[in-house]
Parts: sequence; structure tokens; C-alpha cells
Amino acid sequence: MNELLFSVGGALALIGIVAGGGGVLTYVFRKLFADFGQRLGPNRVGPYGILQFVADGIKLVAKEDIIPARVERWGFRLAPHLTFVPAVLAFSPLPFSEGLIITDVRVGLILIFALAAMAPLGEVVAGWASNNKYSMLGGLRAAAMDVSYEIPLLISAVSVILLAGSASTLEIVKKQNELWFFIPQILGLFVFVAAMIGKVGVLPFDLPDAESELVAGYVTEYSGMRFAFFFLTMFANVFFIAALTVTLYFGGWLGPFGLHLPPMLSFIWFFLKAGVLIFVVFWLWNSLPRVRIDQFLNINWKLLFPLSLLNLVITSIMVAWGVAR
Amino acid sequence: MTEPYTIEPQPDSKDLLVLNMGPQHPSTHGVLRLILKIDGETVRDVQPVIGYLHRGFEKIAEGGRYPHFIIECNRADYVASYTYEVAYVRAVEELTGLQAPPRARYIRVICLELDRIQSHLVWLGTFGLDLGALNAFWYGFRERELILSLQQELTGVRMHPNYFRFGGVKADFPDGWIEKTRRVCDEVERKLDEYEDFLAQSDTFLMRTRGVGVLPKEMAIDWGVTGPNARASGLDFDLRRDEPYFAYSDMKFTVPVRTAGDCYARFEVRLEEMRQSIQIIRQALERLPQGPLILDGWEKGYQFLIAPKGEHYTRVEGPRGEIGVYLIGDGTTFPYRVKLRSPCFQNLSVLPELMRNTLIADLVAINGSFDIVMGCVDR
Repeated sequence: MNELLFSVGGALALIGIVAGGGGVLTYVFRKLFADFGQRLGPNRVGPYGILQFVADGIKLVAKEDIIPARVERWGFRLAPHLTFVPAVLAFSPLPFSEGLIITDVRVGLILIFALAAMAPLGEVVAGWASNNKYSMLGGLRAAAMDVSYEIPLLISAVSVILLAGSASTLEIVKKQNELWFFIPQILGLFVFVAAMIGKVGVLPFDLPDAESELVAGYVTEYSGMRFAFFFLTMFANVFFIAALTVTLYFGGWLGPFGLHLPPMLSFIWFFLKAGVLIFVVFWLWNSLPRVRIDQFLNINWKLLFPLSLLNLVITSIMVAWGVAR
Repeated sequence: MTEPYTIEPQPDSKDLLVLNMGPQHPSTHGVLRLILKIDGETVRDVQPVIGYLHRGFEKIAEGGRYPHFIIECNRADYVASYTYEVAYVRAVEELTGLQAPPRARYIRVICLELDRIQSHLVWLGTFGLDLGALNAFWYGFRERELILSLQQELTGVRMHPNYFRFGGVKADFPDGWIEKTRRVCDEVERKLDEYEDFLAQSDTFLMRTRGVGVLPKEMAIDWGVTGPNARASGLDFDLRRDEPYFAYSDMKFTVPVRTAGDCYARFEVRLEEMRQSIQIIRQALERLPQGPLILDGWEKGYQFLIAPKGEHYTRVEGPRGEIGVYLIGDGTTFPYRVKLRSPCFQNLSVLPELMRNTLIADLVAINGSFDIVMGCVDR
């Protein structure tokens, strides 16, 4: 009974974190986007417009649920869930602090990437089921991007596993007590963040929903709550990039220079670091033009993939000679 | 193409995907419609469909007296409304043999150049948006707003002025306008450097624009491409310098020319043109002669202008190229025929040639770099 309660509570907490975090991030993004463009941004709903995302959410829920006439109804309805659920589940093995983790599995990192690998499924289904050429092109682009960018992502994560000697996220963070992994893994960090941004698909890599080319890509036909799922997934993914990078490279909940907080409060460090990384992602988003699909794939196969392999070799040598560990 | 011309997308015989882009599409700048035949991401064929904004301007012109079309013609190119208006006024003046007083000619030059800057700023913003540099849009429109408010103070409205008269202009500068304009010039000039830093120093921007959509010089001449697009292809031709009108012969400025002919060259040419326009405005403000604004007796008399029998063609260097007005008078107060030569129409006609066998993303970049305004194409 206790276990069941714990599972249900954990699941609810997870959805709360992802939905709430994603919602807050939409507000943060809009404010930052406005600042970068020297505008005001949302400022009407609540102090500094902070309740804007609540208003947006209410609007999206209240909207009429439109299913266009000639879509593949089953796939059309399934696709938002196929995208949203893995994105939420991927947070479950992430430690926000030592005690604040939904489930610590020994192969946590592998689980995360397995769930992340499910993302293209929903996108392709959405693209195909929408019965719209823009949607289809967007869905196929998303699949091509996700599949190719997963490779350097995984290889650089493998380097971290080698260094930590464990695939458990808790273990990985604990191993960084003396030295955060971004110092021995600086190359891996670069590859990881670039590939992660590419996989999630935000500017400069937002090809699946490149507004000026494919209107809205695979979400073109979606509206209301179904659209909200895709939208939320995107911001949840931005949060996920930051959270995973903090876990793997920036010592998770550990404070810098031994400034550890008590276990109950150590999640503050985690969210601070994640916040900085999210800002960096938004910064890139606001300042770089979009790359072309062929250039995008070239960056992956000609730059990130060889670099990640090189990094793996360097890490293996370091581990074998006992430089690290 | 051997297939008959139709605006309905036809299924393709070679198994290519037929994609209808526009008239409702984020990057077709108004109501341009492109029927693409794509093979994966590669565009094999492009067929533009125009006419969604056709308002029958040339016929409207015949229905009213000469001054009535002043209000109308600036709606043709709604982004560069001053230039169209000036082009029409100049055509009528030359047909009738009027010569505006010097101060009016200088004011016209200032207005034209302000218009060119704000039009290029719109282009800069939308081009950035097409490439995914979202904030370029806000930056471009922020500076454009400064210029629009200047224009509003001068003419009373932001965009469609009805300010130019046969034989002069409607009103003089308001108090303090000249100082304000100087300040705006300094501001915009400083911001132009920022835009260059923001876009031209970004590798992604260079990747997207260098070598994309190359328009060779001969092709530009053959297809009648004019303006910055032709100058980016190495065609050293600018009506302001080569056939000076109003007060342009008194101004010192260089005509930026690039030979690459790609999207980046078009970007460079337009940025440089804005800088030159600022120089022209400064010189014009410096040397602004005193005197009447409009020929004696024409303040009200322009309403009943009678043009002699005859025809005349006038061309003006607009922000997008050569704006031509072909005018036939029949000795009454009504124009017999007005033909507007739109630079956008000519520029658009060459686009399918450049877009063939590119990627969809390149197509958007090429379209954006050519600065098409659909109101100007359809008239």
C-alpha cells in the first residue's frame, strides 16, 4: 500500500515538476525574448505578468478541440501523448538532490536515453497523421535530427559513465564531489550540449518547426490542449537539457568549492545551475539564425560525431592510466 | 515548362511532392503564393502565383483627376509609399513642364532617403526573421519607428503621406524637425553597425547567405532586375547618380556595388545603402535652401492641373529598384493612361530561376533577400 502511494505521489510530483517547470519556463522565455528584443513582454497578468503562463494554460484548456476532417484520427490523438509521456518519464531518474529523486535505478542514464529516444516516434506519428505536407516534412526532419544527434549524445554520455564507473545518476553526481566532470570532459561537454540542443530542436536547430519554412512543422494542425502538450514538451525538454547537463558535468546538487548546502536545501544549487544553463540556451535561441538541414546534419556527422569519439578515446586512456577516478 | 499555366496545384508526373506555399505562409511576405515541386527537401520547380493583392490601380488612376491618384499610388508599395508618390508627382510635373522650387526638391530628397532607410529596415527585420534570427525583426522595426515618427511630424501620417504636390510639397518642416532628424540619423547609423555585428559576424548567418541564390550579372540584366538586387550582382547602375533628379546632382554619395550576387551581397549592399542615405540626408539638411515650398498659385491650383496631350515615362530609384511611371495625357484634367512599372514584379520574375534545385530553407532565404512587396507586384 505504501509503495503504491509512493508511486502515485512520485508520478504526480513528476507531472507537477514538468508541467509547472515548463509553464514557468514559457514565461521566462517570453520575458527574456522580450528583453533581447528590447520590448516589455508579458506584463498584464499578475505582478510583472508572472501569471501569464497560467492564463495561457487556461486558454489552451478552454479552447475547442479541433480535429481536422481528413486526419488519421487515432494517430492524431495518440501523438501528443507519445511525445509528452517519455519527456516526463525521462525526469524520473534525475536527482534534484540526494533525497529528491523519483527512482534511482542502477542504469539511470541508460533509461534516460532510452526514453529520450522515443521522442521521434511521437513527432513522426504527429507529422504523418496530420495529413498535411508541412507536418509530414516537419515530422521527418524531426526524426532525422533526433536519430542522428543521439549518437554523439550517447557517446559523450558514455565517457561520463566511464569516468564515474556507474550509470546511476546518483553515483555520477557523488563521484563529482572532488572534481566536477566538466573539467576532464570539456570536449564532451561541448558535444553534449550542442547535440542536446540539436536533439531537442530549439534555435539555432529548430528545423522541425522552422516557422519561416514549414509554418509550424509537425504541430501545424494541432490546437488547444493537444498543441499545449507539444509546446510543454519543448520547454520541458529545455529544462531537461539543463538538468541533465548539470547532473553529468556540473556536479548536480553539489555546491562549488565545497559550499554544500544541507541535504534538504541542496536542490537549490541544482536549480541555480540549471537556471544558468537554461539562460544560455535561451540566449543562443535569441541570437543565432537557423541552420539549414544539410548544414545541420553536417555539423553532426563531421564535427560532433568525431569529436565525441575522440573524447571517448581520451577518457578511456585517462581512466586506464588512472589519471581520473 | 511545357505544362499549361494554371494556378491550381497539379499532381506531378515525376512523383515529386507538390507543396503549396502561401498565400498564407509566414515567410511569403504578404500574399505571394509559390507552388513548389519538391523532392525530399530539394525544390525542383517553383511557380509563383501572383494577383492576390491586385487592386486595379492603373484603372483607378484613369477615373480621377490628376491629384486623386497621389493618394492612391502610394498604396501600391505600402512599405515605400513616399517613393511611389514622388515618382507619380514627378511624372506629372515633367509631362506638364513644371519645375518644383529648390527647397521643395531638397525636401523631396530627404523624404525619399528617409523612406529608403525605413524600407530597408523592414527588409532587414523580415530577412532576419526568414533566417530564424528572431530579434532582427524587433531591432529593424524599432529604428523604423523613429523614422516613421519623423515622417508623421512632417506629413501628418506615418505611412501614406499625400504630401507631395505638383510643383512642390504641402508643408514645411515643423519646428525642431531638422535637429531631430540629425539625431535620428546618428542613432540609426550607430545601430547599423550593431546590426552588422549581430548578423554579419554570425557564422550561422554567413552559412545561410554566402553562395546562396547567386544571380549572375547577365541574368540580372536579362530579367530586368534593378535596384539593390542588381547592384549586388555587379550591375553598377543607380538612377540617383546616373540620371539625377530633384537635388541628387548636388549630393555626394557612393553607390555600393558587390559582384558576388548572393544573398550576403544583397545584405551588404542594402546595409551600405542605408549608410549612404544617411549621408545624403545630412548633406541635404546642411544645404537646405530657403524659398517657397510650392510654385506660386499651385497651393490650391494643383487640384485642377491640366496636362497637355502627350506621353512621358519617368523613373525613380526606389528602395527595391526602378519605379517607373508611364503617363499619357489627353489635354484634360484626367490622365488618359497611367502605367506603373513595378521593380518588385521584375525582381520576382527571376526568383523561380534562382530557387530551382535549392533546399526549402534556401528558397526562403532567397525570397527574403530579394525584398518583394506584394502590393508593389500586383498594384
